[in-house]
Amino acid sequence: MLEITALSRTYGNVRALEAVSLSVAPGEFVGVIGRSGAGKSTLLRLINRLVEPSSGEISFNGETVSALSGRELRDWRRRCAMIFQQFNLIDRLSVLDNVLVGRVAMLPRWRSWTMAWPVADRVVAIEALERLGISEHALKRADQLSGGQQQRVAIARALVQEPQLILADEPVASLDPHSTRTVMDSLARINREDGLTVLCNLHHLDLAREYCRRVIGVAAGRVVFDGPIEALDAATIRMIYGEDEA
Amino acid sequence: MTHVSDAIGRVEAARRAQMRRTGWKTLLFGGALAVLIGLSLHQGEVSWTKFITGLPRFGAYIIRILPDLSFATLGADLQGWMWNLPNWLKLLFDTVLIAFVSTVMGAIIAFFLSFPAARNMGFGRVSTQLARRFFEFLRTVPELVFALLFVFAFGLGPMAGVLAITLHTAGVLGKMMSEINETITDRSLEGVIAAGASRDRVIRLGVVPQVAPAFVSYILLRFEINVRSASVIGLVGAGGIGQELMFVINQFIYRDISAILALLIVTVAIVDIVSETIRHRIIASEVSHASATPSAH
Amino acid sequence: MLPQRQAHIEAFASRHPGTVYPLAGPLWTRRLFWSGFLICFFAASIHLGLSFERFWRGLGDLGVIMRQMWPPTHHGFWREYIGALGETLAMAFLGTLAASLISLPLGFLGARNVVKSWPIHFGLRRALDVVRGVDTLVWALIFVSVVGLGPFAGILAIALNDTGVLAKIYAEAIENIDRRSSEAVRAAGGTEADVARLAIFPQVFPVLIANSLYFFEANTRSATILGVVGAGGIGYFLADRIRVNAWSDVAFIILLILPTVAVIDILSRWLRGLAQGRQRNAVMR
Ligand SMILES: Nc1ncnc2c1ncn2[C@@H]1O[C@H](COP(=O)(O)OP(=O)(O)O)[C@@H](O)[C@H]1O
Ligand SMILES: [Mg+2]
Repeated sequence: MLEITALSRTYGNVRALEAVSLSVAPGEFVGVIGRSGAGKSTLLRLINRLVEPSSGEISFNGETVSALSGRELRDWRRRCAMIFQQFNLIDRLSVLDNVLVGRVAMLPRWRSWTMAWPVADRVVAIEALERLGISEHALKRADQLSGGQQQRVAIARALVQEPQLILADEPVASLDPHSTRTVMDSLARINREDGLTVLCNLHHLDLAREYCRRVIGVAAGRVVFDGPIEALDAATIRMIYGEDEA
Repeated sequence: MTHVSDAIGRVEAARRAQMRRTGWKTLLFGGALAVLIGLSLHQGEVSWTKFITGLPRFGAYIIRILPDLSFATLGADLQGWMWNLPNWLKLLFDTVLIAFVSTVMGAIIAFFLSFPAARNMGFGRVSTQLARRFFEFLRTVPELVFALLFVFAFGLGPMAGVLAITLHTAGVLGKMMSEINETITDRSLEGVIAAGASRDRVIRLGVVPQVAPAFVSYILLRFEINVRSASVIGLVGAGGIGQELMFVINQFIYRDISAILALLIVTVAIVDIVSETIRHRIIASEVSHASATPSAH
Repeated sequence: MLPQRQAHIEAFASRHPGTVYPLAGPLWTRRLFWSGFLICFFAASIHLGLSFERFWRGLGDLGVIMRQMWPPTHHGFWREYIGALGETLAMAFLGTLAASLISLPLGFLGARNVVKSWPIHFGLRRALDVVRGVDTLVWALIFVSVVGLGPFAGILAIALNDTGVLAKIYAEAIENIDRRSSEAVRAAGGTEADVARLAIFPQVFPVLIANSLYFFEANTRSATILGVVGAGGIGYFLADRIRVNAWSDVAFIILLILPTVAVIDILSRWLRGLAQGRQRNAVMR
C-alpha cells in the first residue's frame, strides 16, 4: 500500500506539486493524466526520491520512505523501479549489461566495478528479456535498438530489480503507435501476471481509457480527479487538459 | 530623386562613420602592437648586429654537427656516427619508459579526481572547486620546475622526472576528463540512480562506459607529448636521454649531437605513429557504431 | 533451479554464446591485457629505480623545502625578478611573432595545392618535421652555444620550433581550403600570386591569428623555463635560487609566474574569441 499525504514540491516560486494526497493499493494499474507541465513527472520522481519533497510524506506498507537515506534509500529505489520517457539506458553498454544494472543494489560493490555478473543474475536478466521478446538482442549495444525495443530493455531492467512498484513516466511518449502498443501491453501483462503495482504517467486520455481502471488527473500541481476511468466526465476532462486541448 | 540622393547620403555617412570607428580602432591596435614590439625588442636584447653575426654561426653549427656520410663507405660512416648506439638506445628506452610510467600514474590521478571536478556528478561545490583548482595548479607549474624541485628532494635520476611529468599530466588530463564527464546527460545517470546504485556505482556503470573511449584517446595523445617532455627533463638531471644530450651540446661533441637528435626524432616518430594508429582505430569504431544506429521503427 | 528451466537456459546459452556464461575468449584477452599491462608498468617502475622508500624519504625533504618556502621573499631582488619576467614575456612575444611571419610563406610552399612540384613540399615538410621534432629547450641549449647566453637565444629557439609547428598547420589549412574562390580568381585572369593573395590568404588569416595567439599562450609557459639552460627570462633566477637552496625566493618567483601565466591565458582566450567572431573552432596542435 503506497500512501502519499500532503506532498508538495516547489522550484523557486513554481509550485510543481501542491498538497497531493492519495493512496494506491497493491496490484493496481493507475494512470496519471494531465497536460505537460502539470506535475506528473514530479510526482513519480518524488516517489522514487530522485526529487526531494518540499513538504509532505510518502509511506509504503507503513514505512515512511520519504525519510530514508543511504543504503535504505537505495533499497527503496530498487523496490520502486522507474521507467523513463527517454528510456535512460547506457548507450555504449550491451542490452544484457543494461538489464543487469537493475541488479546493482543486490550485488556486492566489486561485482559492479568489474561488471563480472554472477551466472544466476545473468539468467534472471535473460529471462526478463525473453518475457519482453527481445532476448535475441541481448549482446547488441543498447543504442542499436529501436525506440520500442529500448523501452522494453528498460522494462526488463525494472523487472530484475524485483520491485514492488513500477513507476512509468510517459513510457510511450517518444514511440510510434506500434511500439506504443507493445510497450503498454508489456506493462499490463506484468501488472496482471506478477501483481505488481503500476503507476503510469500518460499524456493521452485514449491510452488511459484502454489500460487503466483508475486514473488520477493532475492540473497545475494539484490532484483534480481520482477515481475510475468511467467517472471522467467532459467537465473534468476540460479541467485537466484546459479548454484548448479537450 | 531627392529620395535616392537622400539614401546615398545616408549610406555614405554611415560608411564614413564606420571608417572613423574602425579606423580609430586599427590605429590604436597598430600603435599598441608597435609599442609592444619595441618594448619586447628592448627587453629581449635583440639587435641587428646580433642577428647578422648569429645567423651565419648557426648555419656553420648545423653544418658542423651533420655527420660525414659518403655513399662509398656508408656502413663504416654510419657505424662511426652511431658509435655509442647501445648506450643511447638504453637512454632512449628509459625516456619512453619515463613517459609511459608517468602517463599511467598521471592518468590514474586525473581519472579519480575528474569526477569530483565535474559539475554534474553530484559532488558538492566545495569538492568540485578544490579538484579544479588542484588541476589548474598542476597544469600551470611547468614540468621542468617540478623536475628542478624533485631532483633536489628525490635525488638525481628518473624518479624526479617521473614524478614531475606525472603531476603535470594529472593536471592536463584531469581538466580534459572532467570536461568530458560534463557531457554526460543526467538521463543516463538517472537510469542507474533509480535502480538504487550508490554514487561510485553510478559513475562506474553510467559514466565510465560512455567516457572511456575519449579518455583513452586523450591519454594516448598525452603519452605522445610526454615522450617529448621526458626527453628534456634530463637537462636538469631528471633522467632519460636529455642529460646525455646536454652533455654533448655543452661539450661541443658535434657528431654526437646530430646522432642523438636523429635517434630521438625517430623514436618520437615511431611512438607517434603507433599511438596515432590506435587512436584512429578507437575513433573509427565509435563512428561505425554511431552510424549503425537505426531510426525508431 | 527447476530441471526444465535449467534445460531451457542451457539451450539458450548454446544458441547465444556469451549471454549466460561469459565467453572465454574475450575474458582471457582482457585478463591477459591487464596483467601484461601491470607487469610492464611495475617492471618499468623498477627499471627506473622508483621505490616507495625513496618516495617517502623524498616527500620528507619536500616538506622541509615547503616549510622554508614560507614566507616568500625577494631579498631585495624584486626589480631583477620583475625585469626577468618582462624578458620572458618579450621572448614569447617576439618568438611567436617571428614564427608566425616566417611560417606563413613556408605554409604556402608546403601546400600541395599551391606548389605543384612534389620535391619542394616534400623536402620542406620533412625539414619542418625535424625542426619540430627537437624540443624548444634543446634548441635553446644549441642557440646558447651559438649566440651566447641571454634572451636572444631563447627567442630564436621559440621562433624555430614554432615555425616547424605553425608552417605545418598552415600548409594543411591551405590544402583544405575552399577551391572555388581560387578558381574564381584564376578565371578572372589572376596570376598565381593573385590567387595566393586574394583567394587563399583571406581564408587562412583567421587560422593564423587564432594559432598565433594560442602559441603565444603556450610559449609564455615554455619561456618561463628557458632560462634554466641560460636562454633568458625568469627561469634563470628560478634555477639559480633552487641551486643555492634559497627556497623563499623560489616561492616568490613561482608566485610571480603563476598569475602571469594565468593572465596571459585569459587575455589570449579573449583575443582569440574576438578574432574568431565567437566561433568555437580553434585549431589545436
Ligand atoms: N528541475 C526543475 N527545475 C525547475 N522547475 C522544474 C523542474 N522540474 C520541473 N519543474 C517545473 O515543475 C512543473 C511540473 O513539471 P513536470 O512534473 O515535469 O510536469 P509534467 O511531467 O506533468 O509535464 C513545471 O512547471 C516545470 O517547469
Ligand atoms: Mg513529464
